[in-house]
Amino acid sequence: MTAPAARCTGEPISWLRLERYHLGEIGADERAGIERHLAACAACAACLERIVQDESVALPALPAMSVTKPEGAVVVRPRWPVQAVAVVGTLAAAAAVVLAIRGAHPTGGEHPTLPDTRVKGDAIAFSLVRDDGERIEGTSGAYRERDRFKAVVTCPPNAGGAFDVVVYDVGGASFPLAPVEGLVCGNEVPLPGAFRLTGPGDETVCLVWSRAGTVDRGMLASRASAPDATSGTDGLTLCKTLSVNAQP
Amino acid sequence: MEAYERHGRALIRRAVRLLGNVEDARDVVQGLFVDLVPRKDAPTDLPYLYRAVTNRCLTLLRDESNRARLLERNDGSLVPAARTACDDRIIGLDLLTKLVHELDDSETEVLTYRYLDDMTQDEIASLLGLSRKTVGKRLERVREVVRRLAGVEAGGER
Repeated sequence: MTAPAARCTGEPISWLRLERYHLGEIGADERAGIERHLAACAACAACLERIVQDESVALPALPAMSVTKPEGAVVVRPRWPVQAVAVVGTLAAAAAVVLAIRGAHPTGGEHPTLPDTRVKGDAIAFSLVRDDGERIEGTSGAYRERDRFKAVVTCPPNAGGAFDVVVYDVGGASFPLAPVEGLVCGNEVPLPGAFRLTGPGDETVCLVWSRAGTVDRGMLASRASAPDATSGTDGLTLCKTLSVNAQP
Repeated sequence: MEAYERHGRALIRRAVRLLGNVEDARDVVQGLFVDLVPRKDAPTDLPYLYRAVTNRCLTLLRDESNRARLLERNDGSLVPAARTACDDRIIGLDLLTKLVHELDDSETEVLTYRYLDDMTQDEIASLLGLSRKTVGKRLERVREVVRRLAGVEAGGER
């Protein structure tokens, strides 16, 4: 991102306008002006050429979505197809640690909430899914240095609140992903982003859910080691301890 | 999803230009569409999606815990040569990760559209639904902070 400046002959054609030009979304008059500029400006023409060349690259598949409507609510359940795994290194995993949350009645989030319902028997669970599809579902597992993981969450549609991932190792706590508020819950929902475990020792990866909508990172960071697994109406912590394994 | 088929590549390119790597860019764009699917009334035009991806990328950049990883993954060959500079200073990923902590969200967004997307002030105003004057004020503030962070002498925008 620090490539040297390319001199434009005038006012550059913005990337958004170039993208829309390429898609044919620009009106005739504006289009003619862009074409005149491109004919005279090597810098902007090179940008358009990048767009054109990139169009030949395969678009990673989106997870297949199924939508059901229990009692009027919309529940989106992303299911990552095998094809998507091959392309983007993502595989949704089945939940392994299932803890019932009783009495939760969250509000907020982007998804509709079930009216006057409590979470009964539904669960918040998470798995770690390695790039090659290997899943860590229990409370322990192994990793190789620099393995890349996604955190996949199963949560009831009215869970709401905020999710965060914290990793504990000899260096203390770190937060490899952005906290997620308003997650559209469902079965095996991948949290945005991925992270690598770099070792060299054990790493404990915890999913933290706060119904209040804000995960207290300061409190988590102040701990020298991972908290015990907890579950309640206002929050939950689920952890997996991974030992380094040099074997492929 | 039709909008993903039509705009997915443009949005990934957009995210790559901000984040400097393909892995995070794909995650951001896919995360957006996963969230959009249940929203039947969500706009699917490119300017709206472009802005949504921009804001998600900036959120990622603001999280200090992501900084080292993003800088490590930053692949300069994926990012085109800059066409717009701020007082002769190119806004690269390293500087951007500092600026996001010095500027508020609205200023950071304007900075991005001006110096990384090469938009004119009129184009930014139209995209954000702001007056050109407001955009200009935010850019002034951006330039002040860039000068301070980069140690660049005050001067005109190129």
